[in-house]
Amino acid sequence: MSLPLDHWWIRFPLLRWRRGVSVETEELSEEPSLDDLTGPYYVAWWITNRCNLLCVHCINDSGPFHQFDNELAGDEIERVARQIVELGVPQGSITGGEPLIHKDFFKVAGYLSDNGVSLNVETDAQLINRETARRIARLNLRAMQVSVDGATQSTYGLMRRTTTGSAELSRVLDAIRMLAEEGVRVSVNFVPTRFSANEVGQVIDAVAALGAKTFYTGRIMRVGRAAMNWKWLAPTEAQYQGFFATLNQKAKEYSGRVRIIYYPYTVTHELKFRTENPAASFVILPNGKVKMIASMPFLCADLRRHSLAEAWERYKIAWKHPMVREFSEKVKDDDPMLASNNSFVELDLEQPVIQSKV
Amino acid sequence: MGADYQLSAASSKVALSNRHVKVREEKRGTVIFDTLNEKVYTINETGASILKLLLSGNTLDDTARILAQDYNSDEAAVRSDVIQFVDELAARSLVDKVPAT
Repeated sequence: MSLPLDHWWIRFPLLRWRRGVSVETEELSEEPSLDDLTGPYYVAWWITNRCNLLCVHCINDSGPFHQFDNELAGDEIERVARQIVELGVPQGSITGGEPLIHKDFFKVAGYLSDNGVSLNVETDAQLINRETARRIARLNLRAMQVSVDGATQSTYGLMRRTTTGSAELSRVLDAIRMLAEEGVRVSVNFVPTRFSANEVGQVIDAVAALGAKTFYTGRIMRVGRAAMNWKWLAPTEAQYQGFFATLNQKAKEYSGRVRIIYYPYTVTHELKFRTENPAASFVILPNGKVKMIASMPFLCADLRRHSLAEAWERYKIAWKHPMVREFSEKVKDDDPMLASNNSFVELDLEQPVIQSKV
Repeated sequence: MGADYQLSAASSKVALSNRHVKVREEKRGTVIFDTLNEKVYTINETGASILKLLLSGNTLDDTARILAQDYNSDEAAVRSDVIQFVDELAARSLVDKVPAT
């Protein structure tokens, strides 16, 4: 008699990659019921809102003077990191602001990575030199995700601002080369805008030559500062057509060497889907508040008062909250509402939640 | 050839293929996360038992023997199932077979 294995293999991709003609498309997929899970699959830890840059399309509205006045520090940071490990969260990301600015970045990233969390770090890479690249290599990250939004200094500098001018493209390209040389897996993130979409092919060529292994892109997200600057940032549909054609061409050219991945959904489409199919993931803000999803303003827990396990339970309830469902409904016809994603709203989850009719 | 392969496979151990493959027990089975490729797989209770025994250091042969006792089943048939299961995981780059030392 054999083992009862007939149904042992049930497969559900978290993100379903459609390997079409060339470009891989990241699709939204239904995940198992949150009630069946002991904790999130993914935690994005926005560790500080301070940033060396002041980018025109920043979804978190970060900047040099934008640090929250009550960001987690010291023991609080350690407690959150320990709880992520204890809850068995398999993968996460550290983001910001610029995570490398945070004085505890290497300590936190090292602790998470050494204790079973497959970690991704999102950076503008402006602060990376050879020594930093070596320290990052020792973290054994899943990937260092570097933002490169233009192939020329004029385009890159237009998007990546500083308090006195523009960030330098050459620095980020040097950083990618050094990271790759030190054995760090580099993925590049590209946000198309009205003035950068036509440079996507040149950016792919440049970062592939430097050793990047993955290239992520999608439509610009209408949230945060990007929503405020929407009229002069958003590419036209004609520009998007040319952009997609270039992606396809480059995906063929770099097949087997660089994965080119495209996320096709708008924020409103994703929100509508997630309202019915919540992802097993949430965002930890710099002050320890827990945000349900980057594109909505709603907070469901506070890690100064709740454990991460309690936050997970509150997160599951929060998706049924009438305010959440109402926001998701209204935003379909009112995209500019998404500019309010950083005007945080704490949900009252102590009262029984009455599900609104959608 | 087939018999030799089975013999050598049965004396192998199994390890997760890299540090970015994660395993977590859930209320309804065990989940394997391939975080590099952003894929998630669930396996049922039987698959979970096999994986747990293998990842705790048992060879495929030891695992088959233990499970055959637990399930009161024929050891050769169980060994074949265990090898098939491991081959499926290996084909998805979730585990590697390593020679027993």
